[in-house]
Amino acid sequence: MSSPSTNAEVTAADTTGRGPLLLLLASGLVWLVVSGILALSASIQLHSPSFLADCEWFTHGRLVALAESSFIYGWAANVGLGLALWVLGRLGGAPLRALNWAVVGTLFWNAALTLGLIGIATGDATSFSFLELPRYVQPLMVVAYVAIGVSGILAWNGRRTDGTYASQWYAVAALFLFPWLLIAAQSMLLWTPVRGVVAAVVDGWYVQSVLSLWLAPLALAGAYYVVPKVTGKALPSYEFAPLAFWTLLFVGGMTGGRHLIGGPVPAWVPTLANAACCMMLFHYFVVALNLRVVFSTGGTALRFISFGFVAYLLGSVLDAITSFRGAALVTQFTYFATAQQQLALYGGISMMLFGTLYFAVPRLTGKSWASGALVRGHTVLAILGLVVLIVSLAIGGLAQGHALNENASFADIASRTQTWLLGATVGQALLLLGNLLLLVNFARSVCSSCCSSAPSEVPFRQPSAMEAHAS
Amino acid sequence: MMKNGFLFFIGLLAAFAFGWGGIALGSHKQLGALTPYYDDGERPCGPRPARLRRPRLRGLSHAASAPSGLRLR
Repeated sequence: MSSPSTNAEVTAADTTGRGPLLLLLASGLVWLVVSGILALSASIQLHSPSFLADCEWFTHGRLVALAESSFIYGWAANVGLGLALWVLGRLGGAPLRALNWAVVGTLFWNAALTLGLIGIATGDATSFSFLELPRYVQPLMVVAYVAIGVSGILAWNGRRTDGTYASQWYAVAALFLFPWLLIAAQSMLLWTPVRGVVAAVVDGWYVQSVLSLWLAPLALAGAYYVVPKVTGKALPSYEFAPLAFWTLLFVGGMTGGRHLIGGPVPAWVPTLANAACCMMLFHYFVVALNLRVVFSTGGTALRFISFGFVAYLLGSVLDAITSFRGAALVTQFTYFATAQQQLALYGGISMMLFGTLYFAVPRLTGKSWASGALVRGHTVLAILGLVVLIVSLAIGGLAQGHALNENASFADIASRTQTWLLGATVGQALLLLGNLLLLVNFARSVCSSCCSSAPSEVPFRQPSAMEAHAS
Repeated sequence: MMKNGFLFFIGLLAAFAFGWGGIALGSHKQLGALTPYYDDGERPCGPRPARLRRPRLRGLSHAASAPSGLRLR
Protein backbone atom coordinates (compact mmCIF):
# COMPACT_ATOMS: atom_id res chain seq x y z
CA MET A 1 0.00 0.00 0.00
CA SER A 2 1.35 3.41 -0.95
CA SER A 3 1.89 6.22 1.48
CA PRO A 4 0.15 9.58 0.93
CA SER A 5 3.37 11.32 -0.05
CA THR A 6 4.08 8.73 -2.70
CA ASN A 7 0.57 9.02 -4.09
CA ALA A 8 0.96 12.76 -4.34
CA GLU A 9 4.20 12.54 -6.31
CA VAL A 10 3.58 9.51 -8.52
CA THR A 11 1.03 10.40 -11.17
CA ALA A 12 -0.91 8.31 -13.65
CA ALA A 13 1.63 9.20 -16.32
CA ASP A 14 4.34 7.67 -14.12
CA THR A 15 2.58 4.40 -13.42
CA THR A 16 1.35 3.78 -16.97
CA GLY A 17 4.64 4.77 -18.55
CA ARG A 18 6.91 3.07 -16.04
CA GLY A 19 8.03 0.11 -18.15
CA PRO A 20 8.60 1.84 -21.51
CA LEU A 21 10.22 4.91 -19.96
CA LEU A 22 12.53 2.89 -17.74
CA LEU A 23 13.48 0.83 -20.81
CA LEU A 24 14.51 4.03 -22.61
CA LEU A 25 16.44 5.31 -19.60
CA ALA A 26 18.19 1.97 -19.03
CA SER A 27 19.19 1.77 -22.70
CA GLY A 28 20.59 5.28 -22.55
CA LEU A 29 22.66 4.57 -19.44
CA VAL A 30 24.15 1.40 -20.95
CA TRP A 31 25.11 3.35 -24.07
CA LEU A 32 26.62 6.07 -21.88
CA VAL A 33 29.01 3.57 -20.33
CA VAL A 34 29.79 2.02 -23.73
CA SER A 35 30.53 5.43 -25.24
CA GLY A 36 32.69 6.26 -22.20
CA ILE A 37 34.82 3.16 -22.77
CA LEU A 38 35.20 4.01 -26.46
CA ALA A 39 36.00 7.67 -25.75
CA LEU A 40 38.58 6.70 -23.14
CA SER A 41 40.26 4.33 -25.62
CA ALA A 42 40.31 7.04 -28.30
CA SER A 43 41.76 9.51 -25.81
CA ILE A 44 44.54 7.09 -24.82
CA GLN A 45 45.47 6.68 -28.49
CA LEU A 46 46.14 10.42 -28.78
CA HIS A 47 49.21 10.18 -26.53
CA SER A 48 49.96 6.45 -26.87
CA PRO A 49 49.41 5.73 -30.57
CA SER A 50 50.31 2.06 -30.27
CA PHE A 51 47.28 1.38 -28.05
CA LEU A 52 44.94 -0.95 -30.03
CA ALA A 53 46.81 0.06 -33.17
CA ASP A 54 46.94 -3.53 -34.40
CA CYS A 55 43.20 -4.02 -34.12
CA GLU A 56 41.52 -2.92 -37.34
CA TRP A 57 38.13 -2.41 -35.65
CA PHE A 58 39.52 0.06 -33.15
CA THR A 59 41.78 2.37 -35.10
CA HIS A 60 41.53 5.98 -33.91
CA GLY A 61 39.15 7.26 -36.57
CA ARG A 62 36.74 4.41 -36.03
CA LEU A 63 36.91 4.72 -32.25
CA VAL A 64 36.07 8.42 -32.39
CA ALA A 65 33.11 7.73 -34.69
CA LEU A 66 31.96 4.88 -32.45
CA ALA A 67 32.19 7.01 -29.30
CA GLU A 68 30.39 9.94 -30.90
CA SER A 69 27.58 7.85 -32.39
CA SER A 70 26.98 5.82 -29.24
CA PHE A 71 26.94 8.99 -27.15
CA ILE A 72 24.50 10.94 -29.34
CA TYR A 73 22.21 8.22 -30.66
CA GLY A 74 22.63 5.90 -27.68
CA TRP A 75 22.84 7.96 -24.52
CA ALA A 76 21.38 11.35 -25.41
CA ALA A 77 18.64 10.05 -27.70
CA ASN A 78 17.33 7.31 -25.41
CA VAL A 79 17.42 9.30 -22.18
CA GLY A 80 16.31 12.53 -23.83
CA LEU A 81 13.33 10.82 -25.45
CA GLY A 82 12.41 9.01 -22.25
CA LEU A 83 12.47 12.21 -20.22
CA ALA A 84 10.62 14.20 -22.91
CA LEU A 85 7.82 11.62 -22.97
CA TRP A 86 7.71 11.68 -19.19
CA VAL A 87 7.45 15.48 -19.07
CA LEU A 88 4.75 15.54 -21.76
CA GLY A 89 2.77 12.83 -19.99
CA ARG A 90 2.91 14.60 -16.67
CA LEU A 91 2.04 18.05 -17.99
CA GLY A 92 -0.60 16.69 -20.34
CA GLY A 93 -2.61 15.54 -17.35
CA ALA A 94 -3.42 12.14 -18.85
CA PRO A 95 -1.68 8.77 -19.08
CA LEU A 96 0.64 8.35 -22.05
CA ARG A 97 -0.84 6.58 -25.04
CA ALA A 98 0.69 4.38 -27.76
CA LEU A 99 3.35 3.12 -25.39
CA ASN A 100 3.53 -0.22 -27.20
CA TRP A 101 4.83 1.76 -30.17
CA ALA A 102 7.42 3.35 -27.91
CA VAL A 103 8.64 -0.05 -26.71
CA VAL A 104 8.91 -1.43 -30.24
CA GLY A 105 10.57 1.77 -31.40
CA THR A 106 13.10 1.61 -28.56
CA LEU A 107 14.01 -1.97 -29.38
CA PHE A 108 14.42 -1.24 -33.08
CA TRP A 109 16.30 2.02 -32.44
CA ASN A 110 18.85 0.25 -30.26
CA ALA A 111 19.09 -2.71 -32.62
CA ALA A 112 19.75 -0.36 -35.53
CA LEU A 113 22.33 1.54 -33.49
CA THR A 114 24.10 -1.70 -32.53
CA LEU A 115 24.16 -2.78 -36.17
CA GLY A 116 25.40 0.65 -37.17
CA LEU A 117 28.23 0.60 -34.64
CA ILE A 118 29.33 -2.81 -35.89
CA GLY A 119 29.22 -1.32 -39.38
CA ILE A 120 31.45 1.58 -38.32
CA ALA A 121 33.93 -0.82 -36.73
CA THR A 122 34.07 -2.92 -39.89
CA GLY A 123 34.70 0.06 -42.12
CA ASP A 124 31.25 1.02 -43.39
CA ALA A 125 31.13 4.43 -41.69
CA THR A 126 30.27 7.49 -43.69
CA SER A 127 32.63 10.46 -43.64
CA PHE A 128 30.11 12.89 -42.16
CA SER A 129 30.28 14.14 -38.60
CA PHE A 130 27.28 13.11 -36.44
CA LEU A 131 26.12 10.94 -39.35
CA GLU A 132 28.78 8.25 -39.31
CA LEU A 133 26.33 5.37 -38.97
CA PRO A 134 26.24 3.35 -42.22
CA ARG A 135 23.51 4.22 -44.67
CA TYR A 136 21.84 0.82 -44.40
CA VAL A 137 20.70 1.47 -40.81
CA GLN A 138 19.54 5.04 -41.35
CA PRO A 139 15.99 4.36 -42.64
CA LEU A 140 15.35 1.99 -39.74
CA MET A 141 16.43 4.68 -37.29
CA VAL A 142 13.95 7.17 -38.75
CA VAL A 143 11.07 4.69 -38.48
CA ALA A 144 12.05 3.66 -34.95
CA TYR A 145 12.31 7.28 -33.86
CA VAL A 146 8.85 8.09 -35.20
CA ALA A 147 7.45 5.07 -33.35
CA ILE A 148 8.92 6.36 -30.07
CA GLY A 149 7.94 9.97 -30.66
CA VAL A 150 4.31 9.34 -31.56
CA SER A 151 3.46 8.81 -27.90
CA GLY A 152 4.74 12.28 -27.02
CA ILE A 153 2.89 13.95 -29.90
CA LEU A 154 -0.34 12.23 -28.81
CA ALA A 155 0.24 13.44 -25.24
CA TRP A 156 0.65 17.00 -26.55
CA ASN A 157 -2.43 16.88 -28.76
CA GLY A 158 -4.58 15.17 -26.12
CA ARG A 159 -3.53 17.33 -23.19
CA ARG A 160 -6.22 18.17 -20.69
CA THR A 161 -4.79 21.49 -19.54
CA ASP A 162 -5.60 24.86 -21.04
CA GLY A 163 -2.17 26.45 -20.93
CA THR A 164 1.08 25.13 -22.27
CA TYR A 165 4.52 25.32 -20.71
CA ALA A 166 8.04 25.90 -21.95
CA SER A 167 9.04 22.34 -21.12
CA GLN A 168 6.26 21.08 -23.41
CA TRP A 169 7.32 23.34 -26.28
CA TYR A 170 10.91 22.17 -26.12
CA ALA A 171 9.95 18.50 -25.80
CA VAL A 172 7.49 18.58 -28.72
CA ALA A 173 9.91 20.54 -30.90
CA ALA A 174 12.65 17.96 -30.30
CA LEU A 175 10.33 15.03 -30.98
CA PHE A 176 8.90 16.58 -34.12
CA LEU A 177 11.97 18.12 -35.73
CA PHE A 178 14.56 15.38 -35.52
CA PRO A 179 13.03 13.03 -38.15
CA TRP A 180 12.90 15.96 -40.61
CA LEU A 181 16.54 16.77 -39.90
CA LEU A 182 17.63 13.18 -40.29
CA ILE A 183 15.69 12.63 -43.52
CA ALA A 184 16.96 15.89 -45.05
CA ALA A 185 20.57 15.13 -44.12
CA GLN A 186 20.34 11.53 -45.34
CA SER A 187 18.83 12.53 -48.65
CA MET A 188 21.44 15.21 -49.33
CA LEU A 189 24.49 13.35 -48.04
CA LEU A 190 23.80 9.64 -48.47
CA TRP A 191 21.02 8.88 -50.96
CA THR A 192 21.42 11.63 -53.58
CA PRO A 193 24.70 13.12 -52.41
CA VAL A 194 25.46 16.74 -53.17
CA ARG A 195 28.88 17.34 -54.67
CA GLY A 196 32.08 18.74 -53.32
CA VAL A 197 32.10 21.46 -50.75
CA VAL A 198 28.31 21.61 -50.52
CA ALA A 199 28.47 18.32 -48.61
CA ALA A 200 30.56 20.02 -45.92
CA VAL A 201 28.06 22.88 -45.69
CA VAL A 202 25.12 20.48 -45.39
CA ASP A 203 26.92 18.42 -42.76
CA GLY A 204 27.76 21.58 -40.81
CA TRP A 205 24.06 22.51 -40.89
CA TYR A 206 23.08 19.01 -39.73
CA VAL A 207 25.58 18.93 -36.85
CA GLN A 208 24.44 22.28 -35.54
CA SER A 209 20.76 21.45 -36.04
CA VAL A 210 21.16 18.23 -34.06
CA LEU A 211 22.60 20.28 -31.21
CA SER A 212 20.23 23.25 -31.41
CA LEU A 213 16.97 21.74 -32.63
CA TRP A 214 17.08 18.34 -30.99
CA LEU A 215 19.49 17.79 -28.10
CA ALA A 216 19.33 21.26 -26.52
CA PRO A 217 15.50 21.28 -26.55
CA LEU A 218 15.46 17.81 -24.97
CA ALA A 219 17.74 19.03 -22.19
CA LEU A 220 15.89 22.32 -21.72
CA ALA A 221 12.54 20.52 -21.54
CA GLY A 222 13.75 18.70 -18.45
CA ALA A 223 15.39 21.76 -16.90
CA TYR A 224 12.30 23.95 -17.37
CA TYR A 225 10.21 21.24 -15.74
CA VAL A 226 12.41 20.33 -12.79
CA VAL A 227 13.69 23.74 -11.66
CA PRO A 228 10.34 25.23 -10.57
CA LYS A 229 9.29 21.89 -9.12
CA VAL A 230 12.29 21.64 -6.83
CA THR A 231 12.71 25.30 -5.93
CA GLY A 232 8.99 25.83 -5.43
CA LYS A 233 9.20 29.15 -7.24
CA ALA A 234 7.64 30.29 -10.48
CA LEU A 235 10.26 31.02 -13.12
CA PRO A 236 11.12 34.74 -13.34
CA SER A 237 10.63 36.61 -16.63
CA TYR A 238 8.67 33.65 -17.93
CA GLU A 239 6.84 35.82 -20.46
CA PHE A 240 10.06 35.99 -22.52
CA ALA A 241 10.39 32.20 -22.75
CA PRO A 242 8.51 31.94 -26.11
CA LEU A 243 10.94 34.43 -27.66
CA ALA A 244 13.90 32.37 -26.48
CA PHE A 245 12.25 29.23 -27.83
CA TRP A 246 11.65 30.57 -31.33
CA THR A 247 15.07 32.22 -31.43
CA LEU A 248 16.69 28.86 -30.76
CA LEU A 249 14.66 27.12 -33.44
CA PHE A 250 15.00 29.73 -36.18
CA VAL A 251 18.58 30.88 -35.56
CA GLY A 252 20.24 27.88 -33.89
CA GLY A 253 20.71 25.85 -37.07
CA MET A 254 22.27 28.82 -38.84
CA THR A 255 25.36 28.77 -36.64
CA GLY A 256 26.84 25.62 -38.20
CA GLY A 257 28.89 27.50 -40.77
CA ARG A 258 31.33 28.71 -38.11
CA HIS A 259 33.16 25.38 -38.46
CA LEU A 260 33.88 26.24 -42.10
CA ILE A 261 35.76 29.51 -41.57
CA GLY A 262 38.68 29.62 -43.97
CA GLY A 263 37.33 26.75 -46.05
CA PRO A 264 36.52 26.86 -49.77
CA VAL A 265 32.89 27.81 -49.09
CA PRO A 266 30.98 30.94 -50.06
CA ALA A 267 31.86 33.79 -47.69
CA TRP A 268 28.23 34.24 -46.68
CA VAL A 269 28.15 30.84 -44.95
CA PRO A 270 30.62 31.62 -42.12
CA THR A 271 29.49 35.25 -42.00
CA LEU A 272 25.89 34.21 -41.54
CA ALA A 273 27.01 31.79 -38.83
CA ASN A 274 28.88 34.59 -37.09
CA ALA A 275 25.78 36.82 -37.09
CA ALA A 276 23.60 33.90 -35.95
CA CYS A 277 25.97 33.13 -33.04
CA CYS A 278 25.60 36.73 -31.85
CA MET A 279 21.80 36.60 -32.26
CA MET A 280 21.71 33.39 -30.25
CA LEU A 281 23.03 35.30 -27.26
CA PHE A 282 19.46 36.60 -26.87
CA HIS A 283 18.21 33.03 -26.42
CA TYR A 284 20.86 32.32 -23.82
CA PHE A 285 20.14 35.58 -22.05
CA VAL A 286 16.45 34.74 -21.66
CA VAL A 287 17.23 31.18 -20.55
CA ALA A 288 19.59 32.71 -17.97
CA LEU A 289 16.80 35.02 -16.78
CA ASN A 290 14.34 32.14 -16.51
CA LEU A 291 16.55 29.56 -14.87
CA ARG A 292 18.60 31.76 -12.54
CA VAL A 293 16.57 30.47 -9.59
CA VAL A 294 18.38 27.16 -10.03
CA PHE A 295 21.07 28.42 -7.65
CA SER A 296 18.61 29.17 -4.84
CA THR A 297 18.19 25.59 -3.62
CA GLY A 298 20.43 22.54 -3.22
CA GLY A 299 19.81 18.89 -4.09
CA THR A 300 21.27 16.47 -6.58
CA ALA A 301 18.94 17.29 -9.47
CA LEU A 302 19.51 21.01 -9.19
CA ARG A 303 23.24 20.57 -8.72
CA PHE A 304 23.48 18.84 -12.08
CA ILE A 305 21.10 21.25 -13.77
CA SER A 306 22.91 24.31 -12.42
CA PHE A 307 26.23 22.92 -13.68
CA GLY A 308 24.65 22.17 -17.05
CA PHE A 309 23.07 25.62 -17.12
CA VAL A 310 26.45 27.32 -16.55
CA ALA A 311 28.11 25.10 -19.17
CA TYR A 312 25.30 25.86 -21.63
CA LEU A 313 25.81 29.60 -21.19
CA LEU A 314 29.61 29.37 -21.23
CA GLY A 315 29.46 27.29 -24.41
CA SER A 316 27.32 29.95 -26.08
CA VAL A 317 29.82 32.69 -25.28
CA LEU A 318 32.72 30.55 -26.56
CA ASP A 319 30.76 29.74 -29.74
CA ALA A 320 30.18 33.45 -30.35
CA ILE A 321 33.84 34.33 -29.75
CA THR A 322 35.29 31.55 -31.89
CA SER A 323 32.88 32.33 -34.74
CA PHE A 324 35.00 35.42 -35.44
CA ARG A 325 37.80 34.83 -37.90
CA GLY A 326 40.46 36.29 -35.62
CA ALA A 327 39.73 33.75 -32.89
CA ALA A 328 39.23 30.91 -35.35
CA LEU A 329 42.77 31.44 -36.62
CA VAL A 330 43.98 29.94 -33.35
CA THR A 331 41.17 27.59 -32.31
CA GLN A 332 39.96 25.98 -35.52
CA PHE A 333 41.07 22.40 -36.26
CA THR A 334 42.52 22.08 -32.76
CA TYR A 335 41.54 20.34 -29.52
CA PHE A 336 39.87 23.59 -28.51
CA ALA A 337 37.01 22.76 -30.90
CA THR A 338 36.80 19.32 -29.25
CA ALA A 339 36.62 21.04 -25.86
CA GLN A 340 33.75 23.21 -27.13
CA GLN A 341 31.89 20.16 -28.39
CA GLN A 342 32.38 18.36 -25.07
CA LEU A 343 31.23 21.47 -23.23
CA ALA A 344 28.01 21.51 -25.26
CA LEU A 345 27.31 17.77 -25.38
CA TYR A 346 28.52 16.73 -21.95
CA GLY A 347 28.64 19.91 -19.93
CA GLY A 348 25.42 21.51 -21.11
CA ILE A 349 23.10 18.84 -22.45
CA SER A 350 24.14 15.72 -20.52
CA MET A 351 24.37 17.44 -17.14
CA MET A 352 20.85 18.81 -17.53
CA LEU A 353 19.68 15.34 -18.56
CA PHE A 354 21.40 13.88 -15.46
CA GLY A 355 19.55 16.38 -13.27
CA THR A 356 16.18 15.52 -14.80
CA LEU A 357 17.02 11.82 -14.56
CA TYR A 358 17.71 12.12 -10.83
CA PHE A 359 14.34 13.81 -10.43
CA ALA A 360 12.35 11.44 -12.65
CA VAL A 361 13.56 7.97 -11.66
CA PRO A 362 12.21 8.00 -8.07
CA ARG A 363 8.82 9.04 -9.44
CA LEU A 364 8.86 6.34 -12.08
CA THR A 365 9.94 3.59 -9.70
CA GLY A 366 7.98 4.87 -6.70
CA LYS A 367 11.11 4.63 -4.57
CA SER A 368 14.07 6.83 -3.82
CA TRP A 369 17.49 6.09 -5.30
CA ALA A 370 19.02 2.91 -3.90
CA SER A 371 22.26 4.46 -2.67
CA GLY A 372 22.97 8.03 -1.61
CA ALA A 373 26.70 7.28 -1.63
CA LEU A 374 26.58 6.29 -5.29
CA VAL A 375 24.67 9.47 -6.10
CA ARG A 376 27.31 11.58 -4.34
CA GLY A 377 30.08 9.60 -6.02
CA HIS A 378 28.59 10.16 -9.45
CA THR A 379 28.10 13.86 -8.78
CA VAL A 380 31.69 14.41 -7.70
CA LEU A 381 33.22 12.29 -10.46
CA ALA A 382 31.05 13.79 -13.20
CA ILE A 383 31.79 17.39 -12.26
CA LEU A 384 35.47 16.77 -11.60
CA GLY A 385 35.94 14.68 -14.75
CA LEU A 386 34.19 17.21 -16.92
CA VAL A 387 36.21 20.15 -15.61
CA VAL A 388 39.48 18.24 -16.05
CA LEU A 389 38.50 17.08 -19.55
CA ILE A 390 37.39 20.45 -20.87
CA VAL A 391 40.16 22.52 -19.30
CA SER A 392 42.81 20.07 -20.56
CA LEU A 393 41.44 20.03 -24.08
CA ALA A 394 41.00 23.80 -24.17
CA ILE A 395 44.54 24.59 -23.00
CA GLY A 396 45.99 21.86 -25.20
CA GLY A 397 44.01 23.22 -28.13
CA LEU A 398 45.29 26.74 -27.62
CA ALA A 399 48.86 25.46 -27.42
CA GLN A 400 48.25 23.43 -30.56
CA GLY A 401 46.76 26.42 -32.39
CA HIS A 402 49.67 28.70 -31.56
CA ALA A 403 52.16 26.01 -32.58
CA LEU A 404 50.36 25.50 -35.89
CA ASN A 405 50.50 29.23 -36.60
CA GLU A 406 54.23 29.18 -35.86
CA ASN A 407 54.64 26.38 -38.43
CA ALA A 408 56.08 24.15 -35.73
CA SER A 409 56.91 20.57 -36.66
CA PHE A 410 54.48 17.74 -36.00
CA ALA A 411 56.76 16.29 -33.33
CA ASP A 412 57.00 19.66 -31.61
CA ILE A 413 53.22 20.09 -31.58
CA ALA A 414 52.77 16.56 -30.24
CA SER A 415 55.22 17.19 -27.41
CA ARG A 416 53.57 20.51 -26.49
CA THR A 417 50.11 18.94 -26.24
CA GLN A 418 50.98 15.60 -24.69
CA THR A 419 50.56 16.70 -21.08
CA TRP A 420 47.13 18.14 -21.78
CA LEU A 421 46.06 15.02 -23.65
CA LEU A 422 47.05 12.98 -20.61
CA GLY A 423 44.83 15.29 -18.56
CA ALA A 424 41.97 14.70 -20.99
CA THR A 425 42.40 10.95 -20.56
CA VAL A 426 42.20 11.35 -16.79
CA GLY A 427 39.01 13.36 -17.28
CA GLN A 428 37.51 10.63 -19.49
CA ALA A 429 38.43 7.98 -16.92
CA LEU A 430 36.75 9.95 -14.11
CA LEU A 431 33.63 10.41 -16.22
CA LEU A 432 33.51 6.71 -17.07
CA LEU A 433 33.85 5.76 -13.41
CA GLY A 434 31.09 8.19 -12.43
CA ASN A 435 28.79 6.88 -15.15
CA LEU A 436 29.39 3.31 -13.99
CA LEU A 437 28.26 4.34 -10.50
CA LEU A 438 25.12 5.87 -12.00
CA LEU A 439 24.35 2.72 -13.98
CA VAL A 440 24.80 0.52 -10.91
CA ASN A 441 22.63 2.81 -8.81
CA PHE A 442 19.95 2.90 -11.49
CA ALA A 443 19.94 -0.90 -11.81
CA ARG A 444 19.71 -1.32 -8.05
CA SER A 445 16.89 1.22 -7.80
CA VAL A 446 14.85 -0.43 -10.53
CA CYS A 447 15.48 -3.91 -9.14
CA SER A 448 14.49 -2.87 -5.63
CA SER A 449 11.26 -1.33 -6.93
CA CYS A 450 10.47 -4.49 -8.86
CA CYS A 451 11.24 -6.80 -5.94
CA SER A 452 9.38 -4.84 -3.28
CA SER A 453 5.98 -3.20 -3.59
CA ALA A 454 6.29 -1.21 -0.32
CA PRO A 455 7.34 2.42 -0.90
CA SER A 456 10.26 3.94 0.96
CA GLU A 457 9.42 6.09 3.95
CA VAL A 458 10.64 9.41 2.58
CA PRO A 459 10.82 8.97 -1.16
CA PHE A 460 10.77 12.64 -2.17
CA ARG A 461 11.52 15.83 -0.39
CA GLN A 462 9.27 18.13 -2.40
CA PRO A 463 5.74 18.69 -1.17
CA SER A 464 3.03 18.00 -3.69
CA ALA A 465 1.84 21.63 -3.40
CA MET A 466 4.73 22.60 -5.66
CA GLU A 467 3.00 20.90 -8.57
CA ALA A 468 1.17 24.19 -9.11
CA HIS A 469 4.38 26.00 -9.88
CA ALA A 470 5.52 23.60 -12.55
CA SER A 471 6.43 25.19 -15.82
CA MET B 1 0.37 30.40 -31.04
CA MET B 2 1.83 28.36 -28.20
CA LYS B 3 -1.64 27.04 -27.32
CA ASN B 4 -2.79 26.35 -30.86
CA GLY B 5 -1.44 22.96 -31.83
CA PHE B 6 -1.79 23.47 -35.57
CA LEU B 7 -0.07 26.86 -35.62
CA PHE B 8 2.63 25.52 -33.32
CA PHE B 9 3.47 22.69 -35.70
CA ILE B 10 3.43 25.09 -38.66
CA GLY B 11 5.93 27.21 -36.75
CA LEU B 12 8.15 24.18 -36.13
CA LEU B 13 8.06 23.26 -39.80
CA ALA B 14 8.83 26.85 -40.76
CA ALA B 15 11.84 26.84 -38.43
CA PHE B 16 13.14 23.66 -40.03
CA ALA B 17 12.50 24.95 -43.56
CA PHE B 18 14.18 28.27 -42.74
CA GLY B 19 17.45 26.62 -41.70
CA TRP B 20 17.42 23.88 -44.31
CA GLY B 21 16.42 26.16 -47.15
CA GLY B 22 18.78 28.92 -46.12
CA ILE B 23 21.92 26.91 -45.53
CA ALA B 24 21.67 23.55 -47.27
CA LEU B 25 19.56 24.37 -50.31
CA GLY B 26 21.00 27.88 -50.64
CA SER B 27 24.58 26.67 -50.91
CA HIS B 28 23.48 23.82 -53.18
CA LYS B 29 21.74 26.29 -55.49
CA GLN B 30 24.85 28.43 -55.62
CA LEU B 31 27.47 25.72 -56.05
CA GLY B 32 25.67 22.52 -57.02
CA ALA B 33 25.63 23.25 -60.77
CA LEU B 34 29.34 24.03 -61.04
CA THR B 35 31.37 21.66 -63.17
CA PRO B 36 33.50 19.41 -60.99
CA TYR B 37 37.23 19.83 -61.35
CA TYR B 38 39.28 16.68 -61.65
CA ASP B 39 43.03 16.71 -61.29
CA ASP B 40 44.41 14.01 -63.58
CA GLY B 41 47.58 13.79 -61.57
CA GLU B 42 45.74 13.14 -58.33
CA ARG B 43 45.45 9.58 -57.08
CA PRO B 44 43.19 8.29 -54.29
CA CYS B 45 44.82 8.90 -50.93
CA GLY B 46 43.91 5.47 -49.55
CA PRO B 47 42.90 1.98 -50.63
CA ARG B 48 39.33 1.64 -51.82
CA PRO B 49 37.04 -0.84 -50.03
CA ALA B 50 37.19 -4.26 -51.62
CA ARG B 51 33.59 -4.20 -52.80
CA LEU B 52 34.18 -0.97 -54.75
CA ARG B 53 37.21 -2.24 -56.61
CA ARG B 54 36.56 -3.12 -60.23
CA PRO B 55 36.92 -6.89 -60.64
CA ARG B 56 39.60 -7.99 -63.07
CA LEU B 57 38.29 -9.89 -66.05
CA ARG B 58 39.68 -13.35 -66.27
CA GLY B 59 40.03 -13.21 -70.04
CA LEU B 60 41.98 -9.97 -69.91
CA SER B 61 44.36 -11.23 -67.25
CA HIS B 62 45.12 -14.27 -69.39
CA ALA B 63 45.46 -12.00 -72.38
CA ALA B 64 48.03 -9.88 -70.58
CA SER B 65 50.34 -12.86 -70.26
CA ALA B 66 49.60 -14.23 -73.73
CA PRO B 67 51.73 -13.61 -76.81
CA SER B 68 50.94 -10.27 -78.37
CA GLY B 69 49.32 -11.82 -81.40
CA LEU B 70 46.67 -13.60 -79.29
CA ARG B 71 45.61 -10.63 -77.10
CA LEU B 72 41.96 -9.72 -77.00
CA ARG B 73 40.99 -6.46 -78.58
